Amino acid sequence: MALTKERIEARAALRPLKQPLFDTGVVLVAPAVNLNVSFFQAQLGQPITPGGVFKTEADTNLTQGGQIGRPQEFDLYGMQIEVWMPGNVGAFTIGDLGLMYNQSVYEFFFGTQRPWLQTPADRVANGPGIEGTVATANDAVPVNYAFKHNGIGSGAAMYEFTIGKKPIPIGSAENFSARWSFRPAGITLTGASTRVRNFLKGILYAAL
Amino acid sequence: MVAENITLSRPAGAALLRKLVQPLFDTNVFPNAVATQLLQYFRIPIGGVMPIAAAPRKSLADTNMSQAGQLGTPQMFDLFGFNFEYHIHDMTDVADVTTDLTAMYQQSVFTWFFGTNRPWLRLPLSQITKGVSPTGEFATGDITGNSQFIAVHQGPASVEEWYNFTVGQSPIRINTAEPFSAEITWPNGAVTPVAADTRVRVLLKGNLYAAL
Repeated sequence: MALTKERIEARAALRPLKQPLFDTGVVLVAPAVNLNVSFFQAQLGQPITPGGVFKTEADTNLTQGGQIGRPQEFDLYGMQIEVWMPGNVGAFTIGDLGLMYNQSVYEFFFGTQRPWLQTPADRVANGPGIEGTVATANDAVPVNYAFKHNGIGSGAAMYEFTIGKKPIPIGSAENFSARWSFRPAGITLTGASTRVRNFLKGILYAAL
Repeated sequence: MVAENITLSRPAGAALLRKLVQPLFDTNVFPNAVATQLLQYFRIPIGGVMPIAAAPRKSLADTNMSQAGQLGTPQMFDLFGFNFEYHIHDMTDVADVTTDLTAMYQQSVFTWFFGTNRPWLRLPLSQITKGVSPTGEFATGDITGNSQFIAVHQGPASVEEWYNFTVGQSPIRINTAEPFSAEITWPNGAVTPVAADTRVRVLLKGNLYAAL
């Protein structure tokens, strides 16, 4: 008889770890017109932008495009968008920061492009950031310091996505992604190309 | 049956331990003008040589590890989370310190190893906040005169700021002789500080079970 039964998939023993998922994109400087940045669609080793350098462990911890891979699982508690200045003085302007956050939308997709969250991007906090003197204040002298961030630079600052303290579970082969969309005509940065990271805060269930 | 000239090893004695709120910590140097792609922690105990020639041997100000990569018998540790301290060497050297802070945090990765080089946590270093840090008048206010002060820190200067590694409030138990370490890497390429040698410290927050 040629028919066989499908094998029953083995179940793995998993360890819960307080490990976020993260991915990085780049908002390009002029003359590029940026419409959006996608997250969690291109894994380690893939270009960070079309034709760009390859992603390393500093850029993402996703080993598969759009899913976490067997046997891992994830409990999602919230999101952060981290904007990293490209240099210390002047390269990243407050005008560019305004362009990125003004009229932009953050979306989180789960399953087949089904949006589970659509919110103005400025509702999604940066999370930990440099705080203190020249981190936020110094525009009085001809030096602009770039340590600016959306929201207080605290580890507790994030978009809370739980309901009744319960996280959203993401299974091994379930698709997910996120997108930061700018105004419909796109934006053009005047300072420098800027790295942006999206963190999914939660608990990763990793193989032992 | 055991042959006459073979003996069984002695069972290890059980020690009485006192639970203390005592972090484990270790210090490295972000070396000025040196292309850096890796900083390691908890691998060189007290009395060991710092990885740059200009630094002296490690003192209690640098680490409280008495063995490389493990707690000595009979100590144990319950790990709750992490802090990472960047010690600004000159609070008036605003431009260079800002450049070095960017180099330190922008594309770096923090990894925590437990057991035989198995990473249990790997994430951008920027997620690991500093915790307690200078604050007050000169730390946050005076930037308009000739003296500009840069008392900055990753995250608010609060004891409440640390990377919480617990799941359901349960810490990770590090037993006697279990290997652990941490490292900071720059996978996208080496970075070169421009200001001065800067001391950078990793703290493991938790409870140490120490001998009476």
